[in-house]
Order: sequence, then C-alpha cells, then structure tokens
Amino acid sequence: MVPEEERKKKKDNKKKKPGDPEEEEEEEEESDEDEELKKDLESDDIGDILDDLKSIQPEQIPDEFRQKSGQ
Amino acid sequence: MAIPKLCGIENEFGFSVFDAAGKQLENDSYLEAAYRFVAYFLAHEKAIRYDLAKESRRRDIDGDDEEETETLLERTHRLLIESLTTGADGFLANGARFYLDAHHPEYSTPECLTPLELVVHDKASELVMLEAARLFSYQLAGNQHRVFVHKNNSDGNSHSYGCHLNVLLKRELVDSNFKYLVKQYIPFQISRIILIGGGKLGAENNRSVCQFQISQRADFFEKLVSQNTVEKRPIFNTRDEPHADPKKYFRLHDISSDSLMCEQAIFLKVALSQVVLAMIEDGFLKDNVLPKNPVEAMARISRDLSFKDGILLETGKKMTGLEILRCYLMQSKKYLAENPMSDQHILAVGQALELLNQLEQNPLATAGKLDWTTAWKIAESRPEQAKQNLLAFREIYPRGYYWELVKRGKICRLVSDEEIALAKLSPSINTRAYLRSEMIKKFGLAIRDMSWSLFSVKIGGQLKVLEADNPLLAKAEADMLLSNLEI
Repeated sequence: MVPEEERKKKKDNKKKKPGDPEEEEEEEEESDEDEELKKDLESDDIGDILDDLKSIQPEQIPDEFRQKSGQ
Repeated sequence: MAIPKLCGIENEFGFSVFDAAGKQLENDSYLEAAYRFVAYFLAHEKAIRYDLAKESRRRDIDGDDEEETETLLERTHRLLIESLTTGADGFLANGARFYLDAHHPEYSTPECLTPLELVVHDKASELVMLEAARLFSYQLAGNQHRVFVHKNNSDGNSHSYGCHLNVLLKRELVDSNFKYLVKQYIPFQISRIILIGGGKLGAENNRSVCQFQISQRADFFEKLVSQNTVEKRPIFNTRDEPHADPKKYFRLHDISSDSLMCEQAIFLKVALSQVVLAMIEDGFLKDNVLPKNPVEAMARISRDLSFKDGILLETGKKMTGLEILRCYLMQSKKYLAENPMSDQHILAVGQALELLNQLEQNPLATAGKLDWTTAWKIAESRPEQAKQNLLAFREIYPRGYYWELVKRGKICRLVSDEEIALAKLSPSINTRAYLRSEMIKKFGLAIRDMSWSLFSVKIGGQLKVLEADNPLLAKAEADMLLSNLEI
C-alpha cells in the first residue's frame, strides 16, 4: 500500500514544475507514478532506504557510544 | 484456574549526551544531564512524585530482606536510585512511572490486561522519551549538546541495561510449587528469544565470539535463579515486590527479554508469556524440556541463526531452541482450546507457529515483524555501516530508522499512531492504573503520597488514605473509591 502522504508529496512536487500538462495527462502520469512508487516500496530495498536515510539524517551518533550498566 | 495475567513492561533506555566538541558526558556531568532529562519532563507534566518510602521493603522469594543479602554493587545501585527519587521519579497522567534508574531514564508502563494494550503502552514510552528529549534540548538551547535516546539493552562494550516484563501470578504457585514454576518457565524464557530477540552485532561479557546474534541480553545472564539484577544476572529473577496484597499475589519480575521496537514482536512477547504462565499456574505443562545448562543454552540459542544447534536437556534428549519453543506453542494451542483466554492469545499462538515455519525457511523474510531479523537485514544490507545503522534503528523517533521504515511501509503495524498518542494520557480502564490516573487528573498537587498501591490526598484539610492492593481493580470499583474519597 502506498502511504497517502507520499502520494501527496509526489503530487505537490509535480505541481511546482513549470509547464504542467493537461489534467487528463496528469491523471495518467499520476497512475504511472503510483505504480513506480508502489514498486519502490514493495521491492527488497532496506539497503536503499538506509542510503536514503543517511543522506537526510546528518546527526549520526559518534563512534564512542558507551553506557553504564543497569538492571 | 489461572488468574488474569495482568502485566507491564519496564524499559531502561540508553541515554547519551555529547558536548559541542563531540565528547560524551561522563560521571557527574552525565548524571546531572540524565537527572535533568527526567526532572524537566516530570515538572512539565506536573507528575506526582513516587514515594519510594511508602513501598514495602524489597524481599527475595524465600522471604529474605534483599537489603541484607545484596552485593556491594547491587547496594550502590539501589542507594543511587533512592537518592534520585526527589525530582526524578514520578507518576504520569496515564498511570505510568518515569524515573531515573541510577544511570538510565526508565519508563514503567501502567498495568495492562491485554497484549495489545501493552503494545500500545510500550510504544507510548518512546513518545515520552521523545518529548523529554525535546524539552531537555530546549532547556539546553545554545550550548550545542546533542542528545541520543536508544531503546536498546547494551552498548556493545559489555554494559547492559534491562527490559523487564512483569506478570501477575497467584502467590500460592510461588509458595507451593516454585520448583515447577522455574523448571517450566526457564526453557520458554531462553527459547522465546527466537521470536522476541532484539538482535545485535557481536558477543559481549566475555562470551564466545560471533558476528551477529539473536538476543541483546542473552550474553548477560550468568546464573539460573537469584535476586540480583545488576551483576551475575539470573535468567529467573526472584525479587518479591508484588505492589499488591502479598498474600494473594506475586509479581513475576522477568528480566530476561529484550527491549523491542516491532509491535508484532512486543505482542508475541506479552501474549505468549501470559499463556505460558497461565499454563504453569494451572499445572497444564507436564514435559521436561529444561536444558542441562540453561545459561549456556541461552547464549547458544542466541547464536544459532540456522536453528540447528541441538541442546542437551536434563532428560538426556537433544532439542534445538526452535524445537523447544515449538513445544510450548503446541501446548499453548491445546491449552487455549480447553481454557479460553482471549482472541488475542489465540491469534498470537497462530502467528508464532507460522513465524517459526518462516524462520526455518528464510529468517530474513520475517524482517519488519521481528526485531532481530529486521536488525540482521539492516546489518547485512550495509555491513560497513552496520554498527551505526543498528544504533539508528533503535533511536527514538523522529531520527530513528525504525520510524523511517514504518513510514516506508516496511514494518508490520498492529496499533495506530492515534492509539499510541492516547496511551500517553490514559491507561487501561480494567486495571488499577485507571484509579491512579484518575487520582492524578482529579487531585493533582493535592496528592501527598503515591506509590503503586497506596495513595494519600488532602481534601478539605483532611488527609485521606487509599490502599489499592488489588491490581485487577477495574473502573466501576475505582469510581466508587474515588467518590467515597470526596464525601
């Protein structure tokens, strides 16, 4: 299932592009995009997601992560 | 007949603060930061101070006062907790307790009856950590400290901190059939990690080398049975602190499982443990599948990623960890057919059996449902960044990878975000937590003392005390007690 916010984000991004196509074409493209997104989400892509996350998350914990013992 | 298996989860969170130069705070500066992390949040939430002095003294199962028999390290740990109770230990509006347990922020969920209720409340603990982290960062704005909170159980350097599952048992089971309880529960504790392990890189605590293992905690158990929790940890902990009528109830303080991110795994942990303990209470289990050396067996099961390692049992037979666990699940199926508990328990046993089949075929196919296989997949996907990525998987939202995987549809969900947000404010109405929560909402700062089972409040200049030693107390009775208070 494609999350609604992903669809909306894609749709919004597309709206910002100059020279929007006619409404009919838009619907057709939207369906292609849905398919593409669906394929992305269904593929075995945890590795790809990790790459993506690395690029959007600058705050990685420093290497010397240490904790005190607890219970 | 077994009593309802009321339960709760305590998570000690990994907490670290780095200064502007990237140096991790240690010793006093760390303790001060951890104290503030908890205290700011409790003050912000107008939490009610937990009164440790009102709690009955901690005892061991054989009646010994724990304070008389504890080791030096256990004593130091307890005294540190006691010294921190002012300001950094309180009950929240949902009846949960949030506090600084020596060196770790800890969250004890309110009492829950059903597995799904506890899934929701365990996930709500992450929301509390998130809000506490935001508040803490806000208070420290300008000094460029960076704060990290992890829902994990070890730092990879042989320091472990716990996740404790608490389950209500009949006192008579412990008094008259303790050996049976231990003998039947331990094989389940050490084999259930196959479904509910957190997954981690490498070995710790001087255990045999491995690249990846199923459980975060398995390497830290060194004894079979004892009262300890800080050193020489036992698989079966005998702390006897019921927070309830001690003549009727025993609270099993099960320290042997991991903190979990995946809702499916939390659901299985709670539901399967409830069923197995109900079976034990009813004397339903007859087979002896106790390994000859359970401590060693737990570490071996944790390293057995292909489920082929035969463990020698007391009986002389050999079984793999997965076969031991399957025995319990088959017994659970039979038990539930004769002794209905709930649809959730039936569902959990069915899911668990199916997951065992999948694990035998292709463990990684269960990623997104089980923590350890999700962690394994993350580690396999990018071996060169495995350490960082696994830490990030267990970091609390919004930076945590777990929640990013949720957004991308890679994690199986059992509850909604709305239910989790609501659980931060409200407990189950079928347990004593409802009374605690209503007391806090109704009387707020007029409450003088509050422990798990005792409340005192000043109303119209009079101090009124309410003892609630029945943790199964439900809404109707609680409402009556509340209205009597105001008369």
